[in-house]
Amino acid sequence: MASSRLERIGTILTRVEGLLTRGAMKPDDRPLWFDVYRAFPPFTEPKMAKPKPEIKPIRQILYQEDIIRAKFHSKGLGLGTTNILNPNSETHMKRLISQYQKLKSDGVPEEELIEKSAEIVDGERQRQENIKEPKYKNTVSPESVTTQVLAEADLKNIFSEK
Amino acid sequence: MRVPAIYFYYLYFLACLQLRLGLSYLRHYSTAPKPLQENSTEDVKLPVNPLEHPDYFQVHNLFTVKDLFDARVHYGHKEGSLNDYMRPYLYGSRLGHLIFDLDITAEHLRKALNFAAHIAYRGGIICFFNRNAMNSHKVERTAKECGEYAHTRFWRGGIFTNANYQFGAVTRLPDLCIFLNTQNNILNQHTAVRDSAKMLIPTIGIVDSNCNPNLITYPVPGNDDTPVAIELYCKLFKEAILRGKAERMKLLQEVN
Repeated sequence: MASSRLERIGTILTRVEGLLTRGAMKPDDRPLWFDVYRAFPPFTEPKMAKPKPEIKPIRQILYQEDIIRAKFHSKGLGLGTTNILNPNSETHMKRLISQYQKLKSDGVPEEELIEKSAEIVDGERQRQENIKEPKYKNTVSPESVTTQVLAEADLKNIFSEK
Repeated sequence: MRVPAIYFYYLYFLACLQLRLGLSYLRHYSTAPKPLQENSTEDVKLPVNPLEHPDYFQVHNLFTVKDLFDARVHYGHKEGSLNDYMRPYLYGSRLGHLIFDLDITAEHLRKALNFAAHIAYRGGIICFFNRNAMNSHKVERTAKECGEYAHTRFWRGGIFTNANYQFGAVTRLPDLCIFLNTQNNILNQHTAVRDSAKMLIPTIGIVDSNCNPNLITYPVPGNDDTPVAIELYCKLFKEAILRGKAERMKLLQEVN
């Protein structure tokens, strides 16, 4: 079957159309995608040689709170671990900023805002960690051999020579 | 009944076009007169030509922009690696990291999903590509689940362009290639992108901010590295292909 391998010229559609109009490809041999492509053409022609789009400066995404963020980061207080598996988890910085705004509306002077909000957020985190279950849980059942051996063993005097 | 003169001009134009092209591949542009108003009021449900329906497989309800955002599709690479052809798809730059405009991405993705569904509906062969070792198993499994093919390993040159010789027999190439990332590594484009264009195979590709979208027929601007994003793309394309295949099965059963 006829085909055109010159991928730098035109698009796949124009090359197939060229083959069809000149009779190199029979209408019944047209590719399976041909009618679909014509019915739903892409937004831009897939041409190799396309003029570059107009180069405009990229818009900078900035927020009002960035000023507060910068204040925390300049003191080295902004970083903390985040659980990205939990979509509802808040970042450390988000907590700091909400605390900062709360304190500011309460009328805390500007100089103390950073230190105070960092202290409060740290205190909250510590409390939460204490509430959590102990990291190591004894999962050995009382009937197991290990428990029986350990019960008999005199661990305190293990190195004493009798 | 008087038919407007413009209608005859239209018919004449179509006839001329067909004569000039010397063939009849415009078959879905029916030249038969449209059914009259009285006929359409009856409760006879005429079979719809899938190509005339804007969204025959209902791919628009597969995802929302929020889903894209949750799957971190909007993250691009850093500004320094930007390909100039990707500029129209950007929303902006957050402290040096490029962010895609998800409204544009959603439009492109819907178009790509619709195309994939149509190809599946017509019984085309679809091949998934991905050269990221972390995601390759997921992509291969997706291809298996929707009864299609995947190529996620080293690309031996000439698999498309020299297929008949390499496989020792006349080979049917895929009818659609879906690239879940279009780069081999951070520097080179996947050779299959060029080879698909050579062999007149349309391509769908997820193009990140450092990729060149020019040779991809249906480019979808978005993050191509994050496993969550790849998982979303896999899910969407699988669903679109399965919908196309289900419609095909229905059609074949009606015919037989």
